[in-house]
Amino acid sequence: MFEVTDEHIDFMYSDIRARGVVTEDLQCNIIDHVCCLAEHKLKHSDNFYRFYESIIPKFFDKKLKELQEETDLLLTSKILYQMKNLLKYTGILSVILLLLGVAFKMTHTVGAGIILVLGAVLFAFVFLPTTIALKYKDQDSLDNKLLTTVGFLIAMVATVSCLFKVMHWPYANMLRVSSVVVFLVVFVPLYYYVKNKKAETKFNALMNTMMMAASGILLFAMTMSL
Amino acid sequence: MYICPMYSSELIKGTLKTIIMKLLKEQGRMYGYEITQCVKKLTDGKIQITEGALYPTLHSLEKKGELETEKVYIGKRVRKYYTLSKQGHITAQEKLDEFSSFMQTMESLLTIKPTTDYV
Repeated sequence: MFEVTDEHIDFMYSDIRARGVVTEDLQCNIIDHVCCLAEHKLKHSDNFYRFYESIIPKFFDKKLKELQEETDLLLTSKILYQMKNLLKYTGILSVILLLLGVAFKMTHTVGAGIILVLGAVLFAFVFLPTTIALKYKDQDSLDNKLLTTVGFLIAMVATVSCLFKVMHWPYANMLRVSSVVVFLVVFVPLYYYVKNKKAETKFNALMNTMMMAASGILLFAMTMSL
Repeated sequence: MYICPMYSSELIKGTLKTIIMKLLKEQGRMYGYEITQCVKKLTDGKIQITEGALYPTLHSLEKKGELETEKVYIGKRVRKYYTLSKQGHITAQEKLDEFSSFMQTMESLLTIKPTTDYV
């Protein structure tokens, strides 16, 4: 029977790590599996390294990192499911609360303020951060991750500024101006930069950028004239 | 993620956890390579579990508390033995019952030849 040496084990650990498998238990499993195969298939005089290079591609379709990705996916699937549920229920609840709050406010009914605060807080501090987390994971590139995160952070500040304005709290205008300025100065150029890079989104990138820039400028003008 | 010389992967997709838990329920303590060889032997090679499917599933079952592990050191090499936890025994039975019921339903669905016109 072929004997796998400590030198072989060290080689496999470094190779597997270099191929993107970072979970220690997973590394142990793969190495033990390769060792078992070597012990069953190799003769004493055979070359282990050549065997390793031929056997390791059988563990994956394109790259060994798939095992790590599959493991991560299985481990996070439950959390993702819970986050999606949280997103659904907080989204529905915050919309209902905001609608009720506005209706109460318009009819001068008691409790409008509390309902509006609850709705806006739920929307800004639970719904939007959960959306950021989920969208962050879905985006394929760092550019898109950054764009999504900046966009939703601006939405959070804008929501809070609306709430402050409706509740006649201080710093409402400052928050509103900040969100519009950051939208115009950071988000819109970033959006154009990210979307303009891909051929399939190039035309829409220009159109959307112009629309967002025009809307942002009008919103800024309106904010300043209030 | 399966290699199934006889069955399409769509056909047995979703059964891996049931297969692993059933084996551990019967055998007690097993390690990864042993599981793949056992499945291969029991099915005459008709179902062969790939490493790419097996180890992520074992890891996920362990994290969910369905499996308990024991590490055995063979020099620098570490072998992980898997056993069903208390909760794993209950889940294994539930999965087997569910799958058995599904098999019966599929059997009755695919073997009955309708003799009545439903129009």
